[in-house]
Formats: sequence, structure tokens, C-alpha cells
Amino acid sequence: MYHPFVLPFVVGFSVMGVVLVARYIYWLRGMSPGNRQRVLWGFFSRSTLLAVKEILQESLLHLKIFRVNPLLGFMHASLAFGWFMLIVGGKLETWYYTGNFFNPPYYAIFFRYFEPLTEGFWMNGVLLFYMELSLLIVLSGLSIAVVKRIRKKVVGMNNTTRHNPANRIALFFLWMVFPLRLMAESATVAVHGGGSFLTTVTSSLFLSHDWAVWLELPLWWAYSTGLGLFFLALPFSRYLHIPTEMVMLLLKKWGVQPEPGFNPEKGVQAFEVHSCPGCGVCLDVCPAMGAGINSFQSAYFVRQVRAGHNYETIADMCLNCGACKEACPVGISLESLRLDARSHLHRKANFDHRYLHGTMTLWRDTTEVVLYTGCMGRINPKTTQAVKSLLHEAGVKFIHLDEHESICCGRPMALAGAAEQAKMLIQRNRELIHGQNGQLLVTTCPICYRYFSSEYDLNIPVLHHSQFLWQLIETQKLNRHKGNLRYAYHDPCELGRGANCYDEPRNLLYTVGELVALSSERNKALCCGNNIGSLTLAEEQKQKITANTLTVLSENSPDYIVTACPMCKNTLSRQSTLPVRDLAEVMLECKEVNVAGSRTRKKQASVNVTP
Amino acid sequence: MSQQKVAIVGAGPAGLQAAATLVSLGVSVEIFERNGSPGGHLKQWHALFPHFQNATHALNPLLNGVKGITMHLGSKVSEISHNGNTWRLLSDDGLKYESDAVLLTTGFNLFDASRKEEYGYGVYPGVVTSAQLEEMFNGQRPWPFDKSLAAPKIGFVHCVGSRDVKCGNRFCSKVCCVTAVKQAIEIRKRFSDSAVTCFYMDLRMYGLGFEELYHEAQVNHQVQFIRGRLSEASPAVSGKIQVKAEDTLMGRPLKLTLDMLVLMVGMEPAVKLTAQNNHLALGKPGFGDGFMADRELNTPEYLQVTPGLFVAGACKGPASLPDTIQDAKAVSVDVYNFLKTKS
Ligand SMILES: Cc1cc2nc3c(=O)[nH]c(=O)nc-3n(C[C@H](O)[C@H](O)[C@H](O)COP(=O)(O)OP(=O)(O)OC[C@H]3O[C@@H](n4cnc5c(N)ncnc54)[C@H](O)[C@@H]3O)c2cc1C
Ligand code: SF4
Ligand code: SF4
Ligand code: SF4
Repeated sequence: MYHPFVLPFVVGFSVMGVVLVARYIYWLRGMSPGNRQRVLWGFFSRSTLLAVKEILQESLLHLKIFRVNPLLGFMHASLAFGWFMLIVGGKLETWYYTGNFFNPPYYAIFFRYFEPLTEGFWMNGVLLFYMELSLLIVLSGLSIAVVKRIRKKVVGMNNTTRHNPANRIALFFLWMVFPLRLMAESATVAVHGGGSFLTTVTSSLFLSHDWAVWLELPLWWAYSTGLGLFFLALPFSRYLHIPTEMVMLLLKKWGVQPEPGFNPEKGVQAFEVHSCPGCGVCLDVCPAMGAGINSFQSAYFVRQVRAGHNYETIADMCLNCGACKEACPVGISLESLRLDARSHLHRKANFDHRYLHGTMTLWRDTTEVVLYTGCMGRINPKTTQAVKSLLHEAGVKFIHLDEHESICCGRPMALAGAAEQAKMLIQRNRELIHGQNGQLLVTTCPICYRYFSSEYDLNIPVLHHSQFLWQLIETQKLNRHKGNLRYAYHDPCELGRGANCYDEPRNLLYTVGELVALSSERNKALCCGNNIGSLTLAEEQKQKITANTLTVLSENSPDYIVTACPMCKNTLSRQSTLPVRDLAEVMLECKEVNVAGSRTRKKQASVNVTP
Repeated sequence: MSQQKVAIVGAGPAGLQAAATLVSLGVSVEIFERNGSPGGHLKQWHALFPHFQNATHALNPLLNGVKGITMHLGSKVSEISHNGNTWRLLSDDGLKYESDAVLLTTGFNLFDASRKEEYGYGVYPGVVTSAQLEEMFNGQRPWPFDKSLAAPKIGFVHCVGSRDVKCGNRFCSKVCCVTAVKQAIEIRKRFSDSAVTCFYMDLRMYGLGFEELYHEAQVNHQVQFIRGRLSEASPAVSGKIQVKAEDTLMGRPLKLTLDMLVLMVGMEPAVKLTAQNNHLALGKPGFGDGFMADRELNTPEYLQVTPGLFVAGACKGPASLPDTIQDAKAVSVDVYNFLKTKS
């Protein structure tokens, strides 16, 4: 049960094992005390079982990729799951054959060489068939992968990741391993007989018995060497993702939280950046791709983080639209990772927030609603006016907190990587909001809304104005009739993917008119191009993104493009040929239609478009 | 030779001047104008920089120069095509006209200030455009504040819709700086206790007499010039407008409460030429579409392969009235020479 050709495999495998264990232990020890606690608690809990299920679904079957792109999913699934089937089958074979559960790992892997002729229904019939079927599945996945490298469109992808040399070496050995296994097993079958549906056919490739005898050992050597070298390269290449992804899923299930600061070689972040397989799903969803910019997408960002240089500038360009985070099958916290990476960039900026404490009044009488329009509200006075008119119409008592002066909610600071400064703004703003004695905070800006709800820990609930307006309609404090204008709704990144608010804006539009369907909407909506997330993307590049987004929004020639974010409205309206409105403006304008009792505004509206 | 014909599109200063020059050279012309009356933007202005010349005094000679020339008013030209030596022109009201050459003098459109919502145009009544201010001077539009107000405070914002990548217009509109200076002086003359502040990026006093006017504004009329872009305009009590800006020379933030805010709107091309099969469409320009290229510079292909198409005046880029008149004369000579080689 031993032959020297197994040595390359044994060496490669052992080195990999040692390196992996060492790295994982180092990463685990770098975790925050809170996260280490979570790991300990989680280890013996039900979450571990759930994680195993998810590992099966995501690491092996790749169901999420499958849902996005079936052919690509099949490629990943057949490679990973087929290989997994081989490992399980190998274990069963050796167990059944020797009667011992524990055998040297190489015995299972090179089983066919050591035991060419097995007997009996289970051994020779079922297991042999199963093993060859598994190999065939892997090979089919492999052939798609090869085709994908050569012609990416075949798998329905517009973009595939570009790889660095270390990865290419690992990739080369990975591609070699399974064909070599097939060849080695076929040679053994040609020499000794046996084999199932696959090798009986392929063994005939050896033409004569002599050839097969002559080639058998060299092929097993080659297979073992290829496998050994692949395992050797694995912890240093992107294939580290194969084991790490599984650990990552466990960690996620155990509830580990993103850790502050930027430490991609320690703690949770290390697991995250090393679990990205570079699958490229994030490329196709990135709005910048459509504008011909392919330098900063998540796959490249993560790769650069692993490489340890140039990641800050890449992180700074991204719009932070969240499309990739939504699509990423591994569930990497791309946004927080990116913001942490940015923290290195703007350290030198000289922020002075001493003025904060002098600004704005604190205590006021009790009121129903505290309205906060934010910095972005200042560039959209029409939206602010419309919201106020609607609140008056519905008889809502409110205070406009930042009518004359305002303090930024802090998210733009956080997006620039200045987390500490953001905290100062949060603190002052929280004092101000609590000081208004309101029952509800309503904001017209999705950026503020998301930040208020996730970072502020307020003592009153917070709603985006679309949600509040919908409540007013539902409680019939505001009344509108259905008109026949057609609206295309643009999901702001911060409100949709950022705060999971998709329905209320649509409900409102549906109440007053028709909502046209779009080819990309809801969590797949495109970014307006001017998300405050990007600090360095050139204006022209942003404008290309805006143009693409406008094409989608104009698809079914609506009467209006409607959005719920001041930034989106500003950006879209500058470039759009169709009129762009905030939801609040639409709701206000519809009142006039209904009061007049006529539907003739459509004409007027289109006249306004061409001044 | 039989008399050759030229179609002129646009009866602004450029079109009117070119028509007069061509007729004096013995060419027959017809003018097509989309508006109900000729004169282009000039007929909206009150007094002209830098000498406060009455705008009608500049317009009348131009109108007199085209007496007897056929002018199609209310005819918006939407298409021109070329067949052999003949140009065909088609207007929205169904007019068709054949000629030996076409001269486009379609001028400019004013930037739509509501595209910069942060300045509050169309939201706060006190926010107006420079063109509307000319109408106020002319008595054709009411002032947005009470005229009996003892000391009105008025602000001017330069470069609205010009030198602004976000609006798709990188270029400078050239005449608005000096127009603001001129208008600021007129305000100071009309409301003796008024306070006027101009917010500029840099002042482009390129023409003869412009710099002198700027000096006069500061010394004789106490107009304040603040270097810095306005960050926002918001409503203040009783219809006033609060503006915030940064004085970048002094390095300090600034807050002012104003009775009227004038936006110095820039120029955008009035039409966009697009080649379609065998004709050229005169359409509405989109975001970032530039002015029509001159024949010598960046000659677009259609101008090369279709000789006989000429452009003059502000449709080639921002220009003052004297620039426009000079250009119209020069291009008319080009047209004349072209017709001569053909006959
Ligand atoms: C606020 C402001 C103040 C100014 N003040 C001064 C000043 O004091 N002194 C000075 O020297 N200059 C001034 N100018 C500049 C001056 O207005 C221009 O130089 C001049 O108007 C340019 O003339 P034009 O004929 O090229 O264009 P326009 O005046 O724009 O005329 C073009 C004509 O073509 C017509 N047209 C367009 N498209 C079509 C079509 N498809 N079919 C038919 N007709 C069409 C238009 O209706 C218009 O009548 C000022 C400009 C501005 C914006
Ligand atoms: S970041 Fe996510 S989507 Fe992008 S390549 Fe990595 S795993 Fe795939
Ligand atoms: S957040 Fe948006 S812009 Fe940034 S990389 Fe992801 S998809 Fe692209
Ligand atoms: S002329 Fe002056 S106001 Fe006009 S665009 Fe140029 S710099 Fe701005």
C-alpha cells in the first residue's frame, strides 16, 4: 500500500495543512475579544449545523451564483461538488475495502493504482461507477472553465477577472490535475482491466498493452506531482478561498461582526479578503463597468488588499452603490472593508469641528414630527417645499430642524474614511434631535435616513419621507386619486440596497398613476452616477454612468422619472431629457390635478420639458 | 448669371447683418426666423455694455438694413438637405425653400436656471436671471421686491451654467461678467441706497472699456466683488433670500440676506446639427452638446463634403454684439466667394 510516487502529493498536502492551520490560528487570534467570544459560543451551537448546510449550498453547490448565472453556477458547482463527491467516495471505498475508517489519505486518492481490480456489487459496481461519474462531473466543469478563460461571453459574463502570475500557476495545476487522474486511471485499467463506464472507454486510447505498461507509472507520478504542487500553491494563491470560504461561512453564522480599523491580515477581515474566489459576479453588476471603467470593482479591490498595496485609491473611486455587496455570493462585507481601507487616505485633512456646539437650538416644545432635510436638502429646495406643503395638508404638526442651519448627518465623512469626525457630528446631531421633543424623525435624504437608523441609536423612530407619506395615505390623512401619468421610479442606492426600502415609494406612485417596469430595478437598480461614495471618480466618468442609468429609466418612455433622493434627483435632472421629480413633488402636483378634476396636465408637463 | 440665392436661418443680429451684407453684394436672400419678430436676443436687452448704449439704437439699423428682404417669421427650420448644387430647407410650418447656399445664424439659448435648483430659481420669487433683469430695466417685468424699499440688497451670481462640468458646459460664456458689472451699476444708479454684491470665480474683462467699467463699478458705485462660488440659497423672512458663500480671497465663510438674487445665465447652443442619411436635422441640443464648429476649426465631415453650408454669430460660441456683427460680415464674404466660384 505504498509507492514513492505518492510523495509529492503527501509533501504538498502536508505543507498546505501546516500553513493553513498556522494562518487560521494567527487570524483567529487577531480577532476582537467580542468576536472570539462569539466564535466560542457559536462553536457548539445550532449555528454550526446551519453553517454546514450553507457550506454545502454555497461552497460546494454555489447556489447563489447558480441563481445569478446558471451556466457559471454549474461550472463552480461541478468543480467543487464533483471534487467533494470524489473525496467522499474515496473515503467510502477505502473504508469498505479495508474495514478501517482511518487510512492514509494518499491511499484513497491513488486507490485505483493500489487496487486495480475490485470485486463485488458494492465495490466494483456502485462505488466504481460513482467515482467515475464524479470525475466526469468535475471534468465537465473544468471544460467550461477553460472555455470561460478563452471566451467569457459563452458563460454569459461580460467580464471575467484578470489574474496575476501566482494565481495563474495555481490555475494551471488545477486544470492539469483531473485530466491527469483520468489518464492515470485509464492506464491502470488498460494494464490490469477493470474500470467502469468512463475508463473502459478512455483506456482504449493507449492503443497497445505495452504502451499502457510503459506510461502507467509516469502518469501516476504526474498526477501526484500536479496535485502536490497545487496544494503547495493553494495557501499562497486565490485558491486559498476554497478552505477559507467555508471557515468564513461558519464565522458568519456564529455572528462575528465587522471589526473596526483596517487589518486585512488579522481577524475577521483576513478571513473575508481571503474567501473571495474572484468569481467576478461583482463585475457584471457594477454600474461603472458600463461606462468602461474596470479598475476598482470589488474583485480587484479585494485582490489588491490581499496584495497589500494600492488598495486605497481603488477604494476611493468606487461609488459605494452597494450593488456588488448585494450580489457577492460569499457575503463579504465589501462596504465596511472599503471604508476601512479609505481611512488611510484622508488622515491629513484638517477637520475642525469646534463650531458644532454653538450651532442650532436645543430644547423645543413637543411636536409630532421632526423634519430633517440635511445638506442635500439644500440643493433641492423644491423637494423640501413639497414635503412641507404635504405635511401641512395632512395636518401634521412638525418642526423643521435644519431650516436655517444644519449639521451634516456624518455619513459623507464616514464614506471618506473619517470615522472619528463622523462620530462628532453624530453626537451633536443626536443631542439636537433628542432636544426637539418629537415623536418621529422624518428625513428627505436617504443618506441621512440610513445613517440615522443604523448609527444613531435614537430614542424616536426615524422614517424616510416616502415611508411617512405612504403612512399618511394609508391612514387617509392625505388623499389622492389615480391619474394616468406614467412614472419610472429610480431606486436610490442608499434607500434601496442601503436601507431596504423599495415598496413605499412604489406604493405612492401606484396610488397616483402608473408605474412602468424597468429592466434593472429594486436591488438591481443602477446607481445615478453621483453617489457621494466616490470622491475621486472623474466627473465625465460619472456622467457616463448617469447616461446609462437614464437609458434604463427612459426605456418605456414614462412621463416622469421619479426618485426619492436629492442627490439622485440633482444628478439625473441635469442630464435627463425627461423631467425628473422627487416623490414629494409628484404627490403635491397630483393634488392640483385632482382639485382641478382634469387630466390635462399631461400636455402641460410635456410642454415644460422643451423650453 | 442668374441671381443666386442664400437661405439664412435665424434673424438675430448675425442673420440680419449677413442678410444686409449679402444683398449689398448682389445676392438674393430669404430669412427664416422661429420667433414672431426679428432681432434675436438683442431685442430683450435694455442697455448695452460697456457704454450703456440703448439696445434699440443698436437693433434699429440692423432692422432697417433688411427692409425689402423676404423674412419668414414663425418658421422654425428643422431640416436642410443637399442635392447636387441645390440646398433644400424645410421648416416646421411646412415651408420649403431651395437655394445655392445656407447660412446658419441660429445663435444661442439662455441656460435654463432651474437646472441648478440649489440657487432656488423657480422656487423663490426673488431669484431671477440676468435676462429677466434686463426686462425689469425695460419696464416689461415687475421688480420682485418692493420698489419703495429704502436700501435693497442685491446679489449677482456669475457663471450660472457656464464653466460648470456638472452642467455639461465647460466653456466660459464670455459676456456675462461684463454684463453683471453693467447691470450692477444700473441697479446702483436706480436704487441709490442699494447694496450690490457680485460673486465671481474670476472676472473676464476682455474687451476694450470693460476693465474701465469694472473699475468704475468699484470706485464710483461701491459694488462689492467677492471671489467665491455660492454654495446655496435658502428662503429667509418676508421673501428675502439667504445666500451662503465662501470668500476665497479672505478665506472666510459668508452669509448674506438679499432682496433679489440675479443669476448670470450662460449661453448654450440653440440647435444641434445631426447628419441623417442625406439630410441634416436641426434638433434640440442634449447634455454637453457643444456649439457648431467653425469651418476652419475641427471641420465636421458634413461641412467638408457639403460645401455651401455656412455658420455665423453666436451659434459658433459665446460672442458679444460687435463680435457677432464682424463675424456675420466676414462669413458673408465667404458665402459670396463661394457663390462666385460656382457660377
Ligand atoms: C444677458 C446677456 C446680455 C447681453 N448684453 C450684451 C451687450 O450689452 N452688448 C453686447 O455686445 N452683447 C451682449 N450680449 C450678447 C448678444 O446678445 C449676442 O452677441 C447676440 O445676441 C448674438 O447674436 P446672434 O444672431 O448670433 O444670436 P441670437 O441673438 O441668439 O439670434 C439667433 C436667432 O436665431 C433664431 N433661431 C434659432 N434657431 C432657429 C431655427 N431652427 N429656425 C429659425 N430660427 C432660429 C432665434 O430665434 C434667434 O432669433 C448679451 C448676452 C446675454 C446673454
Ligand atoms: S467580491 Fe464577491 S462577487 Fe466579487 S469576486 Fe469576490 S466573491 Fe465574487
Ligand atoms: S459598490 Fe457599486 S460602484 Fe463600487 S464596486 Fe461595487 S458595484 Fe461597483
Ligand atoms: S464671462 Fe464671467 S460670468 Fe460669464 S462664464 Fe465667463 S467667467 Fe463666468
